[in-house]
Amino acid sequence: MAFLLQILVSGILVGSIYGIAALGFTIVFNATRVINFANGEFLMVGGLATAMLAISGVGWMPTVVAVGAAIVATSLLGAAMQVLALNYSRSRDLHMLVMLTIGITLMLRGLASLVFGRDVLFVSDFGLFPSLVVGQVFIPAQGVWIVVALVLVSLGLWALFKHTMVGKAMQAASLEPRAASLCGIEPRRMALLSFVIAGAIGGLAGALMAPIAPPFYENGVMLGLKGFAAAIAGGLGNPMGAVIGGLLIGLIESASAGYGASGFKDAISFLLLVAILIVRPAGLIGKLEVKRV
Amino acid sequence: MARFMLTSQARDAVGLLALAVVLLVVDLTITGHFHRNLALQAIIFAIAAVGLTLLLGFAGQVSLGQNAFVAIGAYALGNMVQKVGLHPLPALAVSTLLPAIVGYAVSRPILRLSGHYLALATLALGASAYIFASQWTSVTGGLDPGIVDLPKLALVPGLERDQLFTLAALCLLAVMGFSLLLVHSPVGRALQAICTSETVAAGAGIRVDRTKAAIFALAAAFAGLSGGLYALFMRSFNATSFSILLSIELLMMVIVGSLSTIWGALVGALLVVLLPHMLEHFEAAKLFIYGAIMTLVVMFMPNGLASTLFAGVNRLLRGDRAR
Amino acid sequence: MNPHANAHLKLSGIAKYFFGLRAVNDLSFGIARGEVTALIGPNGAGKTTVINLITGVLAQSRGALHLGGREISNLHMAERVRAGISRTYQTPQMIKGLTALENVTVGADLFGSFTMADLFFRPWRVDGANARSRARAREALARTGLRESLWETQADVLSYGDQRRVELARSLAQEPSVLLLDEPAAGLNPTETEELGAFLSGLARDGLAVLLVEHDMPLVMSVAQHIVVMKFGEKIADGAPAEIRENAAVIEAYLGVPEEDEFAATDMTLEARHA
Repeated sequence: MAFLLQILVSGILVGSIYGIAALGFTIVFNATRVINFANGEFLMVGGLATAMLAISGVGWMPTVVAVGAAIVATSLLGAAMQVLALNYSRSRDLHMLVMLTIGITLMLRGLASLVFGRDVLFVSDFGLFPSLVVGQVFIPAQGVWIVVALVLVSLGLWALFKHTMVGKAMQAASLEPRAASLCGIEPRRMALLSFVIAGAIGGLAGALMAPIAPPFYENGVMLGLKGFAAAIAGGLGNPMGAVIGGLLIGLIESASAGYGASGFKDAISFLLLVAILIVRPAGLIGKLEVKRV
Repeated sequence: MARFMLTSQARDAVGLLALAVVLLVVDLTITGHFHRNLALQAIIFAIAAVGLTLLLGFAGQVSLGQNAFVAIGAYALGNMVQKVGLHPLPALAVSTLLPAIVGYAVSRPILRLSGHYLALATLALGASAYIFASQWTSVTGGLDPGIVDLPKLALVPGLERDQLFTLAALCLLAVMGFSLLLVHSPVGRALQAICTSETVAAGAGIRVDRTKAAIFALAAAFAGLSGGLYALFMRSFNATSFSILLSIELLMMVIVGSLSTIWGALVGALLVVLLPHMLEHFEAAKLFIYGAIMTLVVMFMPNGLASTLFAGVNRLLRGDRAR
Repeated sequence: MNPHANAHLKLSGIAKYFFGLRAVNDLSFGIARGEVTALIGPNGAGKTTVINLITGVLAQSRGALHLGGREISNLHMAERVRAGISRTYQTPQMIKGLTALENVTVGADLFGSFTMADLFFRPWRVDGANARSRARAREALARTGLRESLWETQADVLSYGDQRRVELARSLAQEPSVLLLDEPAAGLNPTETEELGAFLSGLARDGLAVLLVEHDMPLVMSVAQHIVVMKFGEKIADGAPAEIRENAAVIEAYLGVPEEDEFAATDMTLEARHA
């Protein structure tokens, strides 16, 4: 029983990270109808930047600064990405856009390996919360930060989209760019905003997971794929679905790690992604070209 | 001043002949181990790159999972030779056919996707393949030790030559010949139609699903052949050779080469194989350089680097003659 | 009264719903070989949807399609093409990377049925397949009047009018029995439009069943022997040009009601809507 609970706990923790990553995909998709291939890199950079900047050891003040700086960095990265990618998207073939985003992702990863080095970096816990041991179940201190962050980010984004003009403007801009611009909404600015938000929350997620999953420049691919899997699982474009998808993927991964197939746990998430894309791409109305040809 | 216009068939034949001559010359003149190995690697990966050029450049399908098929080919050869005791040539045939079958099976469902979804799905498959390669130790030997000590290729016993080079060169010529035939056939035109618009292709009577699956399987077959030859070349290898980076490097070969002609794959393969040795500190900056090249090429030279340069040179030459 | 007894292509009760929106509702008409049929109607009437339904880009929600007596309602796009249906698009769709002639060859390739398997097992057949397709393509291209000097030019750099010719030739190379044209006169000047009209009449005389979706009324009136009028996804008139010209419903749909009787007009329209 304790074993099951432990898996549950691990699953929720890991799933929360994936959920935030998935939200990044969702936000950008909602605002631009584009899949941001490089979303995982936001988490990667967030983690590495935090690691580099944090003075390891006691106290959480320096850590706050590190995390904050990491978030700023990833937000700027997001902005830069939007400028490069979106300026290209309307004019050419789709597969060129795909390759452009792949190229950007590679540049980011390469840059990260140059700036942060190719070693795995270690960050100590953020502190403040203690680790909990409930019965035989171990809840790492960092875990609390992660879950709290997920809740706050989800609520914040929900409030943004449902209740603020900016949020509604973003949705309007993605659905009907021309009509939106006639109403004074600039689709480009909305797209920029969405990339910045995705960058910020990605950076936050990366920073948060740094103590329990040491940041490494190759992490971005895995996180990106799993975040995408989570976003698709919950129905692309649906923020609530993204979070649920993330938790789901986290639980599945945790379960497969716990019940024996630990080496394969990543593969299970990836294959799940492929399976979902093929069998039930619900929520991808219009974008997916499923034709009777 | 008449333009000497060869029919496309004649041009293909001349090109193939020239390639054969070049390969022969390289085989006979380059004797240093280091340079021979580079040349051999370029030849081996060019085969996979040709397949990807057809899939991506002609048919417009973005696949980031070719590493899976190279891996299948390599491990198939390793297992056939070591565990089944098969002769290298039929083993190589297995290296080619097995990925084709797997590719075809996977393609039918996967090719319903397009654009980013297809890219991500193939990336997921490629990533999974790497994980299987490192974890399925009974078949692949995992990360350590992997497949070890395949025998040196000796098809003609007693002949004191580098037989692998000849074999690889012959394979490349066969692949190029077949692909050139394909490109200038109704199948090649169908691929280009599909790339432009699947609806228009179907409207012209093309069976889009079947054609896409066929080209995906073909690209997988070529990748598998590369994998088999790679296994013969390395003789000892493990899963690290087949990570996502391999898929990226193959993609680079196509982008650096050409999206509109398969000759570009040769140029691309050569450049990508040579690049690390031309620039110091390349390893460290490899990803960044790849990313930068890809981004720039896609933005400014959508036909592929080599293609654009070649067209530019062409224009220069024609300009010269007009004077 | 069944003018469509000899219809080569017959739509019966065709309907298409998009999430509750009735794009096409209970549409029935037929087009005969040797005739140009025009499908007209105000914007949003569903005309392009009808073409998409006939070619198979869209699947009908209800109803049936018959071609030459045979039901084709469930055939895939490529199969319908093989059965003899061909279309052109509102904007000419040129296949990138191919010349004008090569574009048309893609249409002609239909007859060769050359597949990847053939490449492996019968590679010597490539030459023959190419030659036959090329011959068919040249014929079709010559028919549309595209200057021979342009045949080896990349199709996507040709002028609009020339691209239309290439697209038409590509369709003709498939030797269809039904040719569907989606606003072929858009972007053409009056001379070119006249030429197009003559060309279409010629095609009909050659035995094709031509369905023309058009806004250009003079062209329609001069070329069509049969007109079907749609509005809001429904058929409101069906007959010879002379009848259509006099048809009250058509006039109302296109031109509104004459000014003299504004109030009476309002009553009439309200009545008509509730009828």
